[in-house]
Amino acid sequence: MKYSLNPSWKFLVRNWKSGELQLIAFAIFIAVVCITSMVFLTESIQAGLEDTSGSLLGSDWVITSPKPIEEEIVKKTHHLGLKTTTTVNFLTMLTRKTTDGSFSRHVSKTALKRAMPKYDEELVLAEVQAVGKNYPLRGQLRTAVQLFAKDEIASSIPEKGTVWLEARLFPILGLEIGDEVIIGSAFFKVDRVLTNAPDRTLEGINMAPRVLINEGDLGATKILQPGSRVTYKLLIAGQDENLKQFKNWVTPKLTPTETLIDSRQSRPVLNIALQRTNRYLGLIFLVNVSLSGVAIAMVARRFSLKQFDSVAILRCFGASGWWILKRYLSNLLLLSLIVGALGISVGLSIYNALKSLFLNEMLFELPGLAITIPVIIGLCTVFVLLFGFALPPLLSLQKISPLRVLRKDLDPPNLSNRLVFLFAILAVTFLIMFQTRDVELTGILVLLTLGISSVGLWVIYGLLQWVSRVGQFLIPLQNLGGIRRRGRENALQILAFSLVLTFIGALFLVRTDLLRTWKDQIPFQAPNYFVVNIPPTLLASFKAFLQEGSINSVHLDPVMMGRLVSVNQEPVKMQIDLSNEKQRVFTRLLNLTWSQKLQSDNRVVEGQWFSESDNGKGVISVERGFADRLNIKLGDKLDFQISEKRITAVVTSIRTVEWDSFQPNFYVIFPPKTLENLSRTYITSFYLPPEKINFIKKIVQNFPMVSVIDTQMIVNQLKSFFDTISDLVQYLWGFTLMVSFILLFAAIISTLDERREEAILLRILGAGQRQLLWILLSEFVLLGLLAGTIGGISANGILYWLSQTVFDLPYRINYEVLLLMPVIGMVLVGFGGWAGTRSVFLTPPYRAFR
Amino acid sequence: MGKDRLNKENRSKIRNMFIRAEHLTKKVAVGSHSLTILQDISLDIEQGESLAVVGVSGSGKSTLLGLLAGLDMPTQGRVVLDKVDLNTLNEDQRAKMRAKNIGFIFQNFQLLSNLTALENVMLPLELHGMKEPDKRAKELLEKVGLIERLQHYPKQLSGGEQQRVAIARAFVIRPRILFADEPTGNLDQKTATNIIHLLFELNQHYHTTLVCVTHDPLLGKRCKRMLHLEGGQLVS
Repeated sequence: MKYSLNPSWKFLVRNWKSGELQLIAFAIFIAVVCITSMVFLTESIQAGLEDTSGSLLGSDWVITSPKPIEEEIVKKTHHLGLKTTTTVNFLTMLTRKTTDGSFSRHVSKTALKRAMPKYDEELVLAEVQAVGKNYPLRGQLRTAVQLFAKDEIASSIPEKGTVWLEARLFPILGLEIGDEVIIGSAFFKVDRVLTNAPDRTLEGINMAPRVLINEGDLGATKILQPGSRVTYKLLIAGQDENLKQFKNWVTPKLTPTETLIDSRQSRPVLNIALQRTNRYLGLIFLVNVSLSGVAIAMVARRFSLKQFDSVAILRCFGASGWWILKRYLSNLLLLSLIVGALGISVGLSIYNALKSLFLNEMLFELPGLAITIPVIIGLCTVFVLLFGFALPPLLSLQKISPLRVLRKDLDPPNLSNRLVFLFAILAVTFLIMFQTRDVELTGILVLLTLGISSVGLWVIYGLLQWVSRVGQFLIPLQNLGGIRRRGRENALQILAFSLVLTFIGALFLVRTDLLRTWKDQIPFQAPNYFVVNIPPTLLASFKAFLQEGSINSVHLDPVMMGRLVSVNQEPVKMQIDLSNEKQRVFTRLLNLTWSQKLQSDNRVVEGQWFSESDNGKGVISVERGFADRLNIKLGDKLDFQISEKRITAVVTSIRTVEWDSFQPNFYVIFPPKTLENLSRTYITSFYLPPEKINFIKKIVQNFPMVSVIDTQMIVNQLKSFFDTISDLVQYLWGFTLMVSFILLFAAIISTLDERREEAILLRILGAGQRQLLWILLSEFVLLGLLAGTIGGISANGILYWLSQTVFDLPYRINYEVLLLMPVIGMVLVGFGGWAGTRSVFLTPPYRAFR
Repeated sequence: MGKDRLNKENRSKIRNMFIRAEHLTKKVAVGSHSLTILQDISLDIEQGESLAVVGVSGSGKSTLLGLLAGLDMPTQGRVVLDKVDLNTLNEDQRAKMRAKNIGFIFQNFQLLSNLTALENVMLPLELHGMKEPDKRAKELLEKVGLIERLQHYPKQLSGGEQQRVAIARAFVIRPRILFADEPTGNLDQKTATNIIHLLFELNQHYHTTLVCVTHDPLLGKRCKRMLHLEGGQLVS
């Protein structure tokens, strides 16, 4: 027999006409559209998030050096296809050019040495950053045309001869746009207000207000002289692989004064948020693929059942098992290609529509290569869904006996599809791994889903038998027998409903927890100003001054500068790797403080926080990262040199600290009274509404010795970061809901034929419409109730596990979901069942029977 | 017919023999019991012969037809079709044999509902790997008087028309043997008469061996030979 003469497309067209294939195609289409647009979105937002993370440095990596970056290093970056730009940062005094053309400039050497901003009517210490074209490589440079005007993304760097200044410089220097300022020996026209520049952190040099100029103007300032304190930066961005390659190459070449910084290491809070977002995306992806898979398996099972008679006829007329299999396989293949291409294009269109309509600011253009990732994942998804979930029911078709044309009761033997299911599970696992790039998460999720499904099926089947036996004595439902009769189908159906409700519930709960956590991360009115160097003598008057300005309940922490000299009497310099910047930083001066109370953003993870009996003793609490890097344990003795005094203290607790809480935080804390005789200053932070910026000028005028640090830009950056990931989580949640409804639909129609036939027969036998409706609704509502109850319980169970293992979030039982899910189950499944069978009530019984 | 001994008188008869059934027994499992549907059936059918198998419902007629056509395998005994012992073939090999040699007509027509009349008739030719199957399919549909209904779907055709499509489908491969299971069972008397007439007309035209399972005495009488089944055994 020649097999090629019945072209696959003809077979496809004929099967298509039967309508059943249309249902499979529809289920796959919706799944692919959802999954592809989701992957497009996540890839794009991922790029955006990486960018946001990178925006803290203005790039993925930065090399900082006190001298110009070696040409060899720059060449290597080009060779590896990495994008680069350079900046030169230095502190200098900035002054306004007066109207008569003269200017006053006297650079205080002591001020430079202190590296702290000093506010003066005419002279301000500022951090000048001369930037090259392409700056920044990551993140956004935002400017406004006027003070307090709405800002926008800057498409270029400052023109030569112009300067962009931070807003706080305007009132201090009495500047307006168009005025001129002097940096070194050069004049610059004030062109724009700098509202957001990347590479802002809460440390060191960034305390001074930022001034941006074109690197072409650097020479004209004549500031860069031998011995000048300047930081040269090479900003680098590119693909992970290339960056890693570069890191391996460059690390041994760096001198002790040069440092390579990774954007992801610079912000642990963002890292955790990014990791949680990634994991949530992975979870959503798994849920979408699994739900689609189950939906497709159910639709395919129905399709396969409906093919039994046709296949028996084909077998009777001489079609071999292989011929049958080949036809259905080629059908699936053709369908995958057509539906896949269609689904992916629609997915792309949805992504584009969303991008242009709502998400402009949080989505990043995917570069050419990145577009292929969603396409590949989309296509893989189609094949996995079709061949992993639709194929197993179809495989049984080749085993149909031709004798079925004479004996309708002959069903194909139950095939052992374990291998195919194993393949499906492996394929789904691979897909999730490819999407999430997280082995641990993938393993947990896949095992969780499999566990729930198998245990769930077993429990549900038993429960159904029990309900149908016990239920008939409790409630007069004629159709409870139907639940037992269709035990297997109903168990599968409830499993499908339960899976939907479990996943919807779990995703909802995780989403709520994540959103709450992120919202709490940056409190409303997060402190946007830090004030340092407040002398103890002015403490009371400073507090009173703040209260006059309606800034109340401000907490002031004492600060002492000290150096860690030894750990357990071993000099600290002997214990650290001096070429390691992370360790070397602790050999410099540290900010030390004392406190009776543990701050709310600190958590003791080892040992005990100070009691009142510790006051005045040589004990300390150290931050975990500090302890880890210097290998400090509880009970270790640390020696500090504070001013002229040597203090020895034993570590009695180790704390974690939220560095991004916008509160002053410290690596080392003493109890009260231990350091009280030493010279100290105070530090505080507070929120000041943008329109009250002039209050800063008043502080500087009244307390010239204090330094004010503006952190508004960092607050804004973090706010936009958390807003972005919150929006993302909301959108993806919507996609999952869509996929869930397909599964719900598929599960409802899976036993619809049998139910319809029964209903029609009952109508012919004289059952009234109301009676029939009651029978059908009671069965569906009961199924929904069971599924909802299981869904509510499992959603809480999953949340517990995910909170503990994947998201590291605190867990609490959610009673709303526990109580609401059964109701949602009853309403959804009841309504779906009614919608699916209502034609029975609308059509005369005889016509319906035909 | 029983266990014929080879002798000089029936040698020529054996040469023409197309189907031979030897001691066919079919048992099926019902729960923990075994139910005998056919018991020790032996018969010979010559090429070009028309045979009617009659009997009451449940006498095993359709089971016998299924075994003779190679749709099912006997519990004991064997069927030799065109000198090939069907017991030696697997399901796919039997399918290949059916595709080449055998046509079927069923009581409930067994047309594929998603195919038009023409596509239904083309189906066996496509399975057979024939080029331009539509040409011969149209010829047959013309012969059964349905040339105007080529693009109609089964549900758009009457019972008699559907059976005519089924007849066209059965004859389109020019089968050497045609099995008909109650071909007039679902039709009124007048339509049944027309269908019987058409069936025998085509049977003669294509020199097909015809095996009919029927209740219909009219159809039984038109066949050259009639066998009676009762309780799974041949009674005459």
